[in-house]
Amino acid sequence: MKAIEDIIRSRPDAFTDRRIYTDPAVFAEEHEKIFKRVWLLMGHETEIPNPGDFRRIRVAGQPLILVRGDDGKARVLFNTCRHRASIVAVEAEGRCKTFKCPYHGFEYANDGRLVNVPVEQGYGAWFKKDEFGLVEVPRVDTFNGMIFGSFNPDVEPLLDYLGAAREYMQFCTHGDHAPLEVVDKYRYDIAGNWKLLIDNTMDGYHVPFVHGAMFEAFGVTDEQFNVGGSLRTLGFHGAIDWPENRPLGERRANRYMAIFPNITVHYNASGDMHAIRQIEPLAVDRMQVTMWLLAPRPSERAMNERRAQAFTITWGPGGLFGADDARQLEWVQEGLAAQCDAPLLAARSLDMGDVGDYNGEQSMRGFRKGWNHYMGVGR
Amino acid sequence: MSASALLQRYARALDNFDFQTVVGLFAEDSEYRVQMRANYERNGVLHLVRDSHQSLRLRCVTHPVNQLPRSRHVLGEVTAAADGQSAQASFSVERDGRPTFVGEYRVRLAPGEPARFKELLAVLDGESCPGQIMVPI
Repeated sequence: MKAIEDIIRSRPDAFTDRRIYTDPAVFAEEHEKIFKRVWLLMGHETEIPNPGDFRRIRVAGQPLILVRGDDGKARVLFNTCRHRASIVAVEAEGRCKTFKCPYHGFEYANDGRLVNVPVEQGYGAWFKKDEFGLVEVPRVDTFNGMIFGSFNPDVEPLLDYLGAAREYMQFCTHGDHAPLEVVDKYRYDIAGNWKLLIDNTMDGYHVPFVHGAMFEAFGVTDEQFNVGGSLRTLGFHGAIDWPENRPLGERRANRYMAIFPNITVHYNASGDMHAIRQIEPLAVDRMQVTMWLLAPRPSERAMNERRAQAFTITWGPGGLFGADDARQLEWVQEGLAAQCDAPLLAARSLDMGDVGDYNGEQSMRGFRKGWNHYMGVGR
Repeated sequence: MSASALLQRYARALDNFDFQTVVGLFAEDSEYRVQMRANYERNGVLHLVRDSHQSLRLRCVTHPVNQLPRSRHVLGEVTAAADGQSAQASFSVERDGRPTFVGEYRVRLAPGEPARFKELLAVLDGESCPGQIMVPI
């Protein structure tokens, strides 16, 4: 029988050093080695449907503008003036032809070109406006309306990055008969490391404990609660299906996905409800979550009200289940402060391969493999 | 009881973990809502909380009181409509001594006596909700 130390050493996806959730140096390293190298969610095409539509966003700590230019192209621009660095898009969202820096009036077209400099002759003949446009995020691509960007010009193509998760993504990010549109969104903070919410979303094991009181209040019995379903790794990504396994395409099971590193995508069969969650790391012990509610387009207000009600009662900081999760993650973060040399376990159904039952920890391990890969752990 | 007195009583009951009283301040067909200001101003469908009276009751009885943070509500001046049936007031909520929520209550009263809320909407300032809403705020 292998000694426990050997097992821990041989499976860095299943046993995690707790300092990765608490060490500010690891947090800084994650930004360099993960967030600057992979594909990240920037928003949804339906948030900027018309030329000039823009949204001020923050992704991986970077101030950005998601904007559709007059040429119809969606771009992601760094929200910083080339002159003295001020943000140039000050409003949270809107529609405009140009972004005018509030500091000295440098003015940029909605495709990022610098089009006006007050008293331009003061710079001399060397100054060329076309060399001082807003800097673009080098890679932008879309998948079913989701706009992804990467700070890495050499990142692999988005479809390759999604890899084994593509089929699930196709299901979760598209309606049965129509593409999705964003209905509404909000943000909330959790006093926990950003990875904890990914772990939590890909974890069926916690449900009867963290949400037990709520189930009891609803009169759900242990037997009713003993659900089927599965957890699976999809490369570095993961998915959870319940209460039963159904072929992809059937909309009678709930499916949640985690796309490495910081997105979860949700489909709830009840209410035909789609949602996307983006987890922005704010500090080693703090995350900000943006949640979008989506619906097949064109979506109607009355139907969206019903979807929103189902969404609200479940998720987010006030959801009857979401609040339980958020509080639990804060308790985990508090526990992680213990400086003991005791790795965390994601080792359930370790021998079951890439697919396990609802109580398995396959999806967490998929995420950890991705984290280890980019951070250079176990090489 | 005036809207002002009802709000004061609501805040005091929350600070005292007296959730039976909180639930009793709402009419049977009432709605308790919490919404971020951005969603409220764009007439968005998403809420942080949208509880029927039954859901509110559930929210109030589910969580062990000894696991909840101590809250302290500070109410601003209550501005009531001429008919006395609706009112609004600024509020802030501290949890365990830390400022957590800031916003505005917008309330409508149910007709008849005793005075009870027909609707209580808490609109939260800021671009992000800073904490969990296990029990009403």
